[in-house]
Amino acid sequence: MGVISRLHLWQHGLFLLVLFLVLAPLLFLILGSFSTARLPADFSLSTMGVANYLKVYSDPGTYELFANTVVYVAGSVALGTGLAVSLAWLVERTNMPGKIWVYAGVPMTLAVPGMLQAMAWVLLLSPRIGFINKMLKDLFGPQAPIIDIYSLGGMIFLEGLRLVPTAFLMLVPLMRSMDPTLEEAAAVSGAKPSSSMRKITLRLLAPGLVAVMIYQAMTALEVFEIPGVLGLPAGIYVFSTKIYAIVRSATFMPVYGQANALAMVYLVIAVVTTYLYTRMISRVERYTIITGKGYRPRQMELRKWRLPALGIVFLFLFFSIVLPFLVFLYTSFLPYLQSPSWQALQGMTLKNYRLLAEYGEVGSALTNTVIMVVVTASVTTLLSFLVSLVVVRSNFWGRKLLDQLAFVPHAIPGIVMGIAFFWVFLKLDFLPIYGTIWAISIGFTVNFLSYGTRSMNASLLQIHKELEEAAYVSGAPPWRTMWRIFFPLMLPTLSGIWIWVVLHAVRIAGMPLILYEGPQNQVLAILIWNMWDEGYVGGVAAIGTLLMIALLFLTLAVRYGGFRRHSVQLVGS
Amino acid sequence: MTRERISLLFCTLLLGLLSLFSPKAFSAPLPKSTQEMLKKLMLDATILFDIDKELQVPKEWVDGAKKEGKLRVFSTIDPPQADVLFRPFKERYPFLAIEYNRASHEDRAIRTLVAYKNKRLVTDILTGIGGSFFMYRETGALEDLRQIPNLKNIPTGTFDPDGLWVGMHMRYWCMAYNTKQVRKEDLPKRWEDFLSNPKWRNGNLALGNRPQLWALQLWQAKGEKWTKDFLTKLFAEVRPQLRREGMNALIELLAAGEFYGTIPSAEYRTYQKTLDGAPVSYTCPEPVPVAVSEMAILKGAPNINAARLFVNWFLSKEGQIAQYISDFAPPVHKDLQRKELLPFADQIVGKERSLRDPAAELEIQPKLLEFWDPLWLRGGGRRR
Amino acid sequence: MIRIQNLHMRYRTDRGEVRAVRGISLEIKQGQFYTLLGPSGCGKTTTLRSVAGLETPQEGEISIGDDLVFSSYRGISIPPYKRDIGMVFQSYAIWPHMHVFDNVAFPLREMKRRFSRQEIREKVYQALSLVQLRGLEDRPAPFLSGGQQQRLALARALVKEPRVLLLDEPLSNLDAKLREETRFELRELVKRLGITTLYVTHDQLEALTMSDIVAVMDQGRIVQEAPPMEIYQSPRERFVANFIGLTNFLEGRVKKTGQPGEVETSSGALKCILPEGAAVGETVVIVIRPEDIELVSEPSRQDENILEGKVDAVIFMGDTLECQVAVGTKMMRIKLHPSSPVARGETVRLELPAERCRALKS
Repeated sequence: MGVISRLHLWQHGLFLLVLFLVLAPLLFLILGSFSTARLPADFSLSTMGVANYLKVYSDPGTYELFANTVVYVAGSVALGTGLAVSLAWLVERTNMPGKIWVYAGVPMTLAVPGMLQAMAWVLLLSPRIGFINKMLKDLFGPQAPIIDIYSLGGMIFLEGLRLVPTAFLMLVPLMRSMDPTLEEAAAVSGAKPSSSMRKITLRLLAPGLVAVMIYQAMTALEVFEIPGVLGLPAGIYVFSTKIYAIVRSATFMPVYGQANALAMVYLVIAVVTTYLYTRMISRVERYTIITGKGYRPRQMELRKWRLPALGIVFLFLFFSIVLPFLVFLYTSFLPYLQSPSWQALQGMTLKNYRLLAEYGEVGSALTNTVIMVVVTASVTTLLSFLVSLVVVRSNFWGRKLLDQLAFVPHAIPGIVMGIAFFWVFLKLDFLPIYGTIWAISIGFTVNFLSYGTRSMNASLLQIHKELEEAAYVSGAPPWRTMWRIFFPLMLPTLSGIWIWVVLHAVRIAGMPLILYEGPQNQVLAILIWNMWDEGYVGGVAAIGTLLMIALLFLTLAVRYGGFRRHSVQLVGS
Repeated sequence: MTRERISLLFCTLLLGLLSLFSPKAFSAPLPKSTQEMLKKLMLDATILFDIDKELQVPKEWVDGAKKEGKLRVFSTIDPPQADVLFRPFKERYPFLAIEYNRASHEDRAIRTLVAYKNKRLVTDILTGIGGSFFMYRETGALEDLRQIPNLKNIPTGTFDPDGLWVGMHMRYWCMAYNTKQVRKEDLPKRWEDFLSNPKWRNGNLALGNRPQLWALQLWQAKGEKWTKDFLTKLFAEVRPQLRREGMNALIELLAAGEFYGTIPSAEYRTYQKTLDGAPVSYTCPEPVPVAVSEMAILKGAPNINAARLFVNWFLSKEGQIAQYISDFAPPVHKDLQRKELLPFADQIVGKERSLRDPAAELEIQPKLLEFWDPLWLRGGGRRR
Repeated sequence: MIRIQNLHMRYRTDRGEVRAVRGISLEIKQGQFYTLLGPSGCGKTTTLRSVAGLETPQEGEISIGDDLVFSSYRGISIPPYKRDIGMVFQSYAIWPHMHVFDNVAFPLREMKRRFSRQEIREKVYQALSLVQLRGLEDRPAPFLSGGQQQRLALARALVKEPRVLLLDEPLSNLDAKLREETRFELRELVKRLGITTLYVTHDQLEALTMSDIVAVMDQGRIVQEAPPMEIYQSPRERFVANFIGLTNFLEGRVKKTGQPGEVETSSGALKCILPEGAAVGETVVIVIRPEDIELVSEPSRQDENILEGKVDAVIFMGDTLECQVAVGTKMMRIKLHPSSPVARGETVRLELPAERCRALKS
């Protein structure tokens, strides 16, 4: 795009903007960790000191925190990746029936927000009043086993379930890109199927698998909603929830600097995992052999295992989508929380839904959410597009740096980003952003920029320059080329990013909770969290049901509206 | 004239005279919503006979309020309840608009103060400051409310001596219990009964993390030694469930059967839950912990005059009755201490009580919290 | 029709500055089929793209017809969409989101002059018929085979009847048989339409069979510019000879001048055609094509060039028999009729007709 590269001015502007958006929060994060003043607003050089670090690292609770986090992350990654590998392998390499359930169903589980899933399982497995536990007690008497969801085990179970769809979407192309002739060569060399699997298949898959696991570990590390709902009530802290607890203390003025100090450790861990991940990716690229001829790998015969395999799939879908939805549906019609029983069914009422309609708060949260989500999605898409344009297509001197800057936020957990921006907005109080939905929007945009640019880069690289040049020599000036050639070809990617951001921005509670200041910037996720905290279970169930229906519809519409949600490419960043 | 005619004339004259002196003749008609309220509560209109006098305010307030924007109120009641509460006020001052926000999460007080320190006044009136009050005082973030005329309606001890907050309603912090699990015989008459009755062991009792709502009053009434002794035994022997949820959440869990009783519970919330059909009820061992919830105006609030009008009205009989109608909060007004305006009155009236004294609060609370926190953290209950 | 003067093109890479085009000048007459031939990196594609306006040279002038489209001296640089050209890219650059019809119609819709829908339809159909794609208008472009896409690209380039057609290695992605057919068709088509054509390729066979003029390029310069036969038979430099067709080389010194002259080589004295101004004692290289060498039992003429050697390898190529004959330490290649009775190890006599031996200055 000759015209583009000639206008260096806007490229510089873009560069500075991204630089600021990414580095300013980090700067404040680091500086803030040394601040011993109570409030970010009171920060000044005279109040700096290492008191926060001392407090945080001399507290034995911090090491328990560490241990909890390690166990939680390791467990959920093992569970999630294990399940995902099994599912991916079942659909790609066996002749399991009903594969459509997996292809369509697994990505749909992303439509269920993590918070709601955790809450639904609390209603099921709360030790004394969970529906399932009560049922067990009725069946087996007082000696019945109790499954307690408020535990590390519970957190691992749920987070494991939640990691499956993304891992699945990453593993499928990996399995598909394996050259079957490599296994065939093993076969004709005399290797049994099991040793071929061990020595060839798994070894080839290994780097990709490890990369997926590292990626999932990064996700599990930063997720707030599951440990928030399941761990906080039981006092089981992991990094993300501990930071939240420090900042959102209810009985004393938080020393914000301590949250920063803790966040720094978190940041270091995140950076290390990102580094490991990129290392793994380069190994994957070495091993990936793209078969241009489109051979499909050999499928394994399952015989008597066909139905049980399908059973596993259904069980997974049941636990992930169906059960939580049913639980919410049921609870939303109850005047007060009770186990399913004939009596309960008789007492059903529409009160919760009516109250939702009457609560101005719900209306304003909904409006705020819609505005925030639409703005965030649009800005992220636009910004990703511009950044990728410069990175992939121009000769701007700083384009490599720009690309790396855009990717950095991926390593920063949402909660930490929230804290960082909290400081930025409080300190830069001449900008009226603090306490508004724009604060949340900006925080999200910076976070999602990394995803948007990865996706956009890969897509732009695929558009051969000659497609544009052909338009030029056919007589079209640059802007018309952009409009008639470039834009239609980019449309699937642009809309893919837009939808992805929408689906994520709606569900995430961690960062918004940090930036939440009052009803004017309350979004749905915060509303749900607050209502749950106050015990408005009926209200939560009602909103949750409606939200899940809306998201499921959105996901369905996306699938069948022609903008196929592209599977996440491991390779090609 | 016949004797009948004279009696008739006399009666008519008498009635006429009486009607001249009846309160109605001297006062303006009550707002429609007020009349409805009184009807609902089956109270006589005479209860508000001096309402006009009560609502007399300096003219500057009314004029000033006319020029201001929307009055912003933060409180914990549901918006539909807030609508009910504000209706009479809006009828009396139709030129005022109210923006109500339910700021109900526990850290709302902190958040408001953080914003205040950052020179953002996110509200004019806020309620339920609770334990954060000393921070507000330190920052000087509250207006002096001593010029509010109706401050005289509420007894000493229900407002801050420096006028920084006024009590909104009486609040009783006793135990809500699950009627399916607990029999009448098990209900404690005195606080010591919790220690002796095995019913409350095995995690059947739940404690919220708010000692300043009930234990403080016990400290006031029974002294430091007794309270410390009681609490130690409670944590060590009874080992209740130590719950991090808010007080409202605990009642919801109670109804579901998570535990048999929860301390501390507020009377109005428990009452609201019974109206939903939940199997819960309320009991108060002696001494009954009483507190008031605070209402205050942020210093430098932009809508200060409207705020003053509101607080003044709120402390009038009309305002207090409106409050009761909206969420069953018992009035703090001296002249409205009656059974009809008190949920679970039979549990409260006639018993020995201990009112949380603002001055005592400042002195005792830090010591109480210092004692309580380690007990809580060490976890004497069935922690998951 | 196309005139290039003193074209210079440089650009920066990680390894420093690369001078892709170093002072190229050429002139293509109206209706000529002009080919730039050379190995990769010689600057031929860069030159073509400069004519198209997709690259901006540092120095030089380019005119298309009467229009000066580029001049570094006068600060003129007309963008590609304002030059009246048609171009076929190596990758075809077919727009995948459009149908065949829309791909071809695109240039018409971008022209200043507005065509009616009827006119557009006619022109598109006409262009498609030219390339034998008529009937496929409604097919989505990606659903075409490689050969069809190439023809589609051609139709698109021709639809607005440009003065000049530029082709950047358009046949390199086709398989051998298709390539051969298309070579023929393409030349026929442009000749029939009378469009001036600038063609870029690295395949010497394409260049020789399709062009009116071939310009051999090496490292940014035109080494020789001549009609195909002349390039083939009279290469002026070793590079050209080497690049065009298979050749045998024999180094030696000039023994006798004259026509023919005589050159002393390691295989004996050979009569050959000497370059102009060759002096006795000068080092030269004798060039002779494999197909010009004959297998004889008796020399056909007196003192004809005869070399004796042993057959080292015989390779059946389908339409020829390629033999490698060891003459002394040299390996000579010859091409024979497939039925020739030659066997490995046989001693043979090779006749090198003097008029077919050209000596080039070393």
